[in-house]
Amino acid sequence: MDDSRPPQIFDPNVLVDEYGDYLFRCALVYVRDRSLAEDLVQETFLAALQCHRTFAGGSSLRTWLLGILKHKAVDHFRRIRRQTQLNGNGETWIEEASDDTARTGPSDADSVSRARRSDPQVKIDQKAFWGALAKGLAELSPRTATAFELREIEQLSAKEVCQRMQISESNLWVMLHRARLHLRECLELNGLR
Amino acid sequence: MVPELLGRFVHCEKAIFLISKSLDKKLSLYERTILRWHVSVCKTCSEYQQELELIHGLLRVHHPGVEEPGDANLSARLSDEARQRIKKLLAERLKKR
Repeated sequence: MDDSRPPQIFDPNVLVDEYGDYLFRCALVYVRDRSLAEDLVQETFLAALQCHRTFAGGSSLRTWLLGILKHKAVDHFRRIRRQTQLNGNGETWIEEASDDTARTGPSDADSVSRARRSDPQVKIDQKAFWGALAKGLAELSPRTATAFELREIEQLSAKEVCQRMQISESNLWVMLHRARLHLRECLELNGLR
Repeated sequence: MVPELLGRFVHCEKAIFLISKSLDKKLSLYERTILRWHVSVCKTCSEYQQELELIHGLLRVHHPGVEEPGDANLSARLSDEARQRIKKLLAERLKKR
């Protein structure tokens, strides 16, 4: 049996008919532009064909495809950021640039209070939330973003993330700390309510 | 009096680190204690803790694509043109193997 051929469920017609609209709706949460969303969906399916072997069949195909889409969305924002980098110094990731913030933490008590609503039953604007999250992730170094994605979005345990990334627990604490610090700011600015 | 004194020995820098760590691992008794004391005297860090926990909680529950009532996206679909284009591209990619 030819192992390089994807299994039947990866038939293009089936994939697009079954999951195309769903992935398209998800993509629109990250990017507002419809043709951009179409591109993301296309890239997701292509990547799925490419690495069909990593689909274990454990989680649902839908969940697996969504995972690929999320990575593609973050890649997209990273690409945009690179294009707008004018200083030619190579990339500076947010956590390097804002080391002062990491040392002092949230300094503006007022802005923190403004952002925080006392109502515990927070209803969020999904688009604003996920769009801001993807943008924020793209501003972090790829490794830090990966650590956050694996832990918080794919919900792996801390141990699993360490194994996957071949890092120590203390490395992980630092990366997640920096990621959360930055993302909290992004979400605040973009109106988490 | 005592919590206030101890709060000064734990800077916000350390406190916010512990707040983040507490989301991934049960803190030691020592860490839990100094964090609790700091948060009880520091409003900024107390709010930071609430926000991190909020974001952490939201990510567990919400996923893009889960339709909310009144979501304008409910009817969003791939255009027929895009659908055909993508199918064609995928089929071509498969043939190349």
